[in-house]
Amino acid sequence: MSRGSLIARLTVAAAVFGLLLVGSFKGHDDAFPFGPFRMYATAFSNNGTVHSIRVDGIDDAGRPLTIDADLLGLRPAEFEGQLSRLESDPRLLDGLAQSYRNHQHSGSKLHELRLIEVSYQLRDGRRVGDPVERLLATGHAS
Amino acid sequence: MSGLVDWWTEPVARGRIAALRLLAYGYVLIDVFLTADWVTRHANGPTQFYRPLQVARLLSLPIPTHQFVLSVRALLVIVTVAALSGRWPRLLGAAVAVLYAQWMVIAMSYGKVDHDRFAFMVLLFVLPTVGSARLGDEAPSAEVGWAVRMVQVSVVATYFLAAVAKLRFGGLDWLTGSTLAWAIVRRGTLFSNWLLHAPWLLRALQWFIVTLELCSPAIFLVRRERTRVIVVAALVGFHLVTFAAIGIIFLPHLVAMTAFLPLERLSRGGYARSASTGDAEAELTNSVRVTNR
Repeated sequence: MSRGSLIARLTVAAAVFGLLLVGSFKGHDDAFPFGPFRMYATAFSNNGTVHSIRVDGIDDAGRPLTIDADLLGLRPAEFEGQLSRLESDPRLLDGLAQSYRNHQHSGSKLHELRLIEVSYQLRDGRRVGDPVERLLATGHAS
Repeated sequence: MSGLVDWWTEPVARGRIAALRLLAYGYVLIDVFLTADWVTRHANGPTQFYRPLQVARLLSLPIPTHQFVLSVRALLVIVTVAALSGRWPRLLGAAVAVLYAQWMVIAMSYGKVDHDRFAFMVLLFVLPTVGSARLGDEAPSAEVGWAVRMVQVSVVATYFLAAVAKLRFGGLDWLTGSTLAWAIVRRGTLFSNWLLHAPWLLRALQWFIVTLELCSPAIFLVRRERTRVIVVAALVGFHLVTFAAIGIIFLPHLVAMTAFLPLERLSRGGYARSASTGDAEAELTNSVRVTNR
């Protein structure tokens, strides 16, 4: 390997891992792929509440409609990542419901999307009681 | 200093790159159609949900409209299939790396970022730094050595820095808190739900995970190839247990981890015979079992 080629390779190595180190100690998810590896890095209290998000659909006749994740365009975790936006701007969920309806080619049509938070209580690290559901936001399509 | 330089470019057989190309490009196709098929979903959602990552803003990457997402996917698939043929490895390899990176920007720009892809992306970007390579070619090369080392360091950095992130964001509470219980409540399976009744065991597992991650650089101290293969197998086992418990598996990371294995022993029968990842993996298992230097 020539000297120039060696120097180029060592420089690339220093740059890639230098950026990754800075991202890990100072950066956030936005810095992908050099951000911190923070999946499951949050600490949860042994007596805290565990939340998760579920999306329900209602069709034109008011019946429950199974949501097809492919038509929705977002993963459940992505709803969680944008929760504060969704709650502060209900039109976003309307847009999502409308886009879902437009992509439907068969079956009963989506009329309403319901964003539901499901909470479980932990006590000393064990799950206690039944899950509690709370409606966070709704979006409509026509 | 020269010791460090030697370490970064310690020669590795060219055959390892040939095998890594099969695994990496084969996995790109599996990822696009199977393991990360949800990326294509972003073609369907309204673009208001697009929250461009820093890199997308810096490079003014296009907003992923329906057409754009499907076009990137089509190009990525075509170029990857071409790269699997082994022709023009530098040109096609670079194209796969750039297109996959754009695909990942589309994937991660909707409010959720995954962390199983760093080493795999490094693998895609270093593959085109090596010219043609044949399976089974045992001729050592410093440029292959550098490429393989880049991937190995990325794999280890993923573990080590995951522990750093836990201590940075969760603090010491991460070790004594209920993160694993939280994960199982949300994504538990038949194999893990019982653990919710044994919080002490979950806490012990949290200590074990952080210890394992912090100790991961020790793999570079392993000089015996057989021991290194055993360590890699143990790590694969760790990921399989995680998958059984919460349904999450770091597949692209596992593909990158094969850079630790003596893949140059794979088939000397030529490219055509092993032109699928399935064959490559089967032969890998055999060669690991049979040969040991």
